[in-house]
Amino acid sequence: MTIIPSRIDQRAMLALLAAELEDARGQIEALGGALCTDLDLIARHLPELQALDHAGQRCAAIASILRSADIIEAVRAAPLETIADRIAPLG
Amino acid sequence: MQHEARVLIVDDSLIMRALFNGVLDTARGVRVVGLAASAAEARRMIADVRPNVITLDVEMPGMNGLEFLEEIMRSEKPLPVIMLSALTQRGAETSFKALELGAVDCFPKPTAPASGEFEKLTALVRAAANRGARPARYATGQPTRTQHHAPHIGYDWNGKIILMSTSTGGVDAMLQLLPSFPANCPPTVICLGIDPNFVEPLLTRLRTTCPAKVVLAEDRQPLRQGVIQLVTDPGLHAVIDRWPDPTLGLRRSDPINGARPSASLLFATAAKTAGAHAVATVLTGLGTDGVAGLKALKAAGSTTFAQDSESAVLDEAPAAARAAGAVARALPLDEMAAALLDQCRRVSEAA
Repeated sequence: MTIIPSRIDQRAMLALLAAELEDARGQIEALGGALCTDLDLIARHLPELQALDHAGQRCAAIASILRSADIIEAVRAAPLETIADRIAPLG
Repeated sequence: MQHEARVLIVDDSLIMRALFNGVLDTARGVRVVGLAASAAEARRMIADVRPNVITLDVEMPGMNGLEFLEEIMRSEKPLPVIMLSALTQRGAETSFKALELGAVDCFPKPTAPASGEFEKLTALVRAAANRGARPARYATGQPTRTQHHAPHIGYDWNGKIILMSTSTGGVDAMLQLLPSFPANCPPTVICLGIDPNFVEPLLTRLRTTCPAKVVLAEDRQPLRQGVIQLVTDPGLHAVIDRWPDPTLGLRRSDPINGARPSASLLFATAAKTAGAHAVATVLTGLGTDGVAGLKALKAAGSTTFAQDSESAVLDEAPAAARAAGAVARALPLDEMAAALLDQCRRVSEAA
């Protein structure tokens, strides 16, 4: 089991999580990029490839939010409508 | 002879870069010469790899696509830019802004396989890289010589109708041309093959800038002086039903040579009904829709124009009309409104 240092502050923790998401985005994009070298696969699985791209964008957008000084404002300004739409009902 | 399209793909998403690289680089007459993940990278690559067309993602981190588009359009020799965007509601507004800024066209990122969208994109890339693709002028700040309004005071209509067709570059053309039409302009019908998402913002803009009334075409609407009807529904064709007292009819039938609404059908029905009482033009656009109908109108005695290659955002359709001998005169866009209106003006006997 990983031991989390007790003295780590919230900002540092959020930065760690952001870094984790950015790594995940890199892996998703590398996979998508590799798959896109196959034209037949593009033709058969275009929606799935675009969903993969969207997943990567969401990771990047959330990472950017986690690194911002004002998280609520960053969520409002998020470039992805899915994120903005999720918080809209919260007022 | 067609030049090879040398494409620079600018997109922050590695997947999208790979996808468009895979699609475009294997297309006939197209070579991908660079892939850039940001505006800064693209700026460097433009100098190094010398593309003749750019595809640009609308939303990128850092300098976004629109800001970079503006930068390209301000350069001494702006390259043709095709914007690629996800067409959400918000995306549509951004894409419309891109057209105003000078993009050749905005292309929705395809969402379904085998939809023919990639073929359309490669055709657009080839056309943009070749002759005729030039930045739209509406929002680049270049002055136009359009005779705004003044010559049309006291406009005396001679009973002829005006017909136009346009597709790629059509938003820019409409924004430049239609404000010159006076409030009592001749009845005007425009076959507008643009993305349906751009119709509402275009209509909103035209309604604030045009003295004439601009409406979306509806079935069985009479052609009236002072009213400009836009035919935009991709599910319907438009026809001129009868003469005199012409009305516009909308018909649900198969595309004609890949086009719906078909400008050729609109023009051909006008040739049959209105004969020599129409004035028509083919403006900037992709493909050849409108050409056959324009020939029919010319044969019926109507006056026919086409936009010239120098002023067309995309010269493919006007060039096809000129090559087919369907055009009495080719005109720059900033002389088109006056030419159309003059043909529909009553000439006094004293003149």
